[in-house]
Amino acid sequence: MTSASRARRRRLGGWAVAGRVLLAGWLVWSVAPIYWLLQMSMQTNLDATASPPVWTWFLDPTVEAYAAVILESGLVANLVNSLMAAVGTVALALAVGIPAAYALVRWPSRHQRHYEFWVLSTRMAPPLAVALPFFILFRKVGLVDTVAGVIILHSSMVVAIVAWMLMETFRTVPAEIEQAAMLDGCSAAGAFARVALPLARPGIVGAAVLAFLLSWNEFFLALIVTDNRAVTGPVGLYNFLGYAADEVNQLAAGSVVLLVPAFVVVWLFQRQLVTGLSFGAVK
Amino acid sequence: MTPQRGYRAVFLGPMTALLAIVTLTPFLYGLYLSLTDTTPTAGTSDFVGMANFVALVGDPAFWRALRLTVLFTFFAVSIEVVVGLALAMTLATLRRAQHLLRALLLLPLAGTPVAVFYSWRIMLNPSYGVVDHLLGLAGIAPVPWLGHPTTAVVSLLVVDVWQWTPFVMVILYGGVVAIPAEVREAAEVDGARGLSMFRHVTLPMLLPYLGLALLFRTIDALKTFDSIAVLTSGGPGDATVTLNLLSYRQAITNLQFGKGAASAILLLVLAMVVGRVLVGSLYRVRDAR
Repeated sequence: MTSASRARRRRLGGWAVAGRVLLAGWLVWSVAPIYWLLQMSMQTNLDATASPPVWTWFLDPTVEAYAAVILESGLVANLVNSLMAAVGTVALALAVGIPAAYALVRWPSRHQRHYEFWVLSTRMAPPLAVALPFFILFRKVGLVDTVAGVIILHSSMVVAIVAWMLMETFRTVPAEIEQAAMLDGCSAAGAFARVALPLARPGIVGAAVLAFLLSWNEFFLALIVTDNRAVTGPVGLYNFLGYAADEVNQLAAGSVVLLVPAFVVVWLFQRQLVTGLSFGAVK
Repeated sequence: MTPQRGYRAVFLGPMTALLAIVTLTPFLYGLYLSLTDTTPTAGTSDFVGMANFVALVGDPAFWRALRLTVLFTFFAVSIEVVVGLALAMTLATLRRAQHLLRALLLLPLAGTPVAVFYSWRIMLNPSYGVVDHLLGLAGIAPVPWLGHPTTAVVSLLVVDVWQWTPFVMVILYGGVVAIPAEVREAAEVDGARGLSMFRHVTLPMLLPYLGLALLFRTIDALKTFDSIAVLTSGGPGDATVTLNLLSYRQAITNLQFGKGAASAILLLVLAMVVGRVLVGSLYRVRDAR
C-alpha cells in the first residue's frame, strides 16, 4: 500500500468502507442461491427437502440425482438442441450484424438514427408478439418443433443487441488505418476484411458470447414453438418440474447441468464479455 | 450511385432483410390477428375490428396487469441502477481481485434463468425453504413469500434485482473506468470531494452509460416472464399477472389468439413509447458533449 493510496482511502473513508461492505454483502447474496442449488443437487431427496435444512457443504456428495436426470429425463437430448440453437443463432447474428454495424459506423447517412432506432425497437417486442404469429406461421410451413424454428425466433431477440455492441466496437477502430490501407491499394471491402475485422475481434467475440448466452438461456420463445423433438434445456427443465415436482434434488441437478456450460463460457470469455457489455469502455 | 452507397446497401442488406422477416412479419401478422377472433379450433377467423382492444380496455384485469407491469419495472430498474452504480464505483477502486469479483458477480446474470429461479423457488418454499429458516434464526417469523399477493410481488422484485443488477453494474463499471484520471485530479485541485465530486464529475460523465443501462433494462423489465412463470405462475390469484403474462394466458392457455395478440400489441406500444423517450434523451446527452 503506497502512501498515496493510503491518503486516498483516508479521504474517501466513509464512502469507501460503505461501498466495500455492500460489495462483500452482495457477493454472498449473489452466490448463495447458486451454492444452495449445487448443494441440493448432491444430496438425497430426503436431505434436500429436510426441515430444518441440512447443510452438507459438499462433504458427503451423492450423484444419485445426476444419474437420474442424465439417464432418465431426456435432458441431455434437450441440451444438444440448446447447443445447436445457440451456435446457429450466433452464426446468423454475426453474419448479418458485422457488416451492418460496420456500414452504420463508417458510412453514416441522413436517416441513420431512424434505422438505429428501428434496429433497437426489434428488442422491444414482447416475446408473445413475436412467438404467436410465428407459432401459427410455423404450423403452416412445418417449422414447429424444429431447431431451425428456434434459431429464427432467437435471432429476432439477439440481432439488435449484437448490432449495437458491434457498432460501439467499430467506433473504437480508427478509420485512418483503413484509409491508409486503401491508399496502399486495398478496396473498401479489403480494408474492412483485412484491417477493421482483425482490430474488432475482441468486440466480435464479446458479442458472440453474449448471443450464445442469450440463446442458451432463453425460455419463453422456445416454450411456445417446441413440444418434443426440438425442446431446449430450459423448456425441458420446466416440463420436468411438471412431473417431478417432489424430486427437488433432481430438479437441482438438472438446473446445475444447464448452468455449467453458461458459467464455463462466462469464465473463459469474461474479459470480452465485459468489454462488450460496457460498450468498449473496459479493454 | 457512389461506390460507397453501393457498399452500404450490400453491407446493410442482410440485416435489414433478416430483421424485416423476423420482426416486421410477426408484427404485421400480429396486428392482423388482433383485429380478428382467430382460435386454433374454429376453422374460420372473422374480422372483428377493434373489438379485442375495446374488450381489453373495459377489462379490470387488463388495468391491473398494466399497473403491475409499470410499477414492477419502475421499482426493479430503480433499485438495480442505484445498487449497480454503488457496486461499479466500489469495484473500480479495487486494486486486487477485481477480475475474480467481476466474474463472481456476473454469475446470476449468466446463469440460465429457469435454473436459478428453481433455486429461489426452493429456497422460498414454506415447508423446507432455507430463507424462512435463516430468518427464524434471527428471530423473525416465517413470511409466506409466494403465497400472499404483496409478498409474491416483493419476491419477484428481489429475484429480479438479484439477477439483473450485475448487468447494470458492468455497463456503469465501463463508464467509471473510462473517466480520465486528469479530470478527477483537476476537480480535486478545485476542491471537489466525495459527494461534490460525484455530483459534478462522476455523474455527468456517467450519463450516457446510465442512459444505456436504463434503456436496455427498462425494455426488458417490461417483458419479465421467466421468473413469474417459475416462481408464481401469476398467482396467488392473479396478483402477479403482468401484461406479458396476461397475453400469454389469453393466447396460449385460453387459445384466444386475437385477444392475446391485442394485449401483446398494447405492451409493444408501451415499450416503444418508453424506449423512444429514453433513446431521445440518450442522443441528447451524446449531442451535448
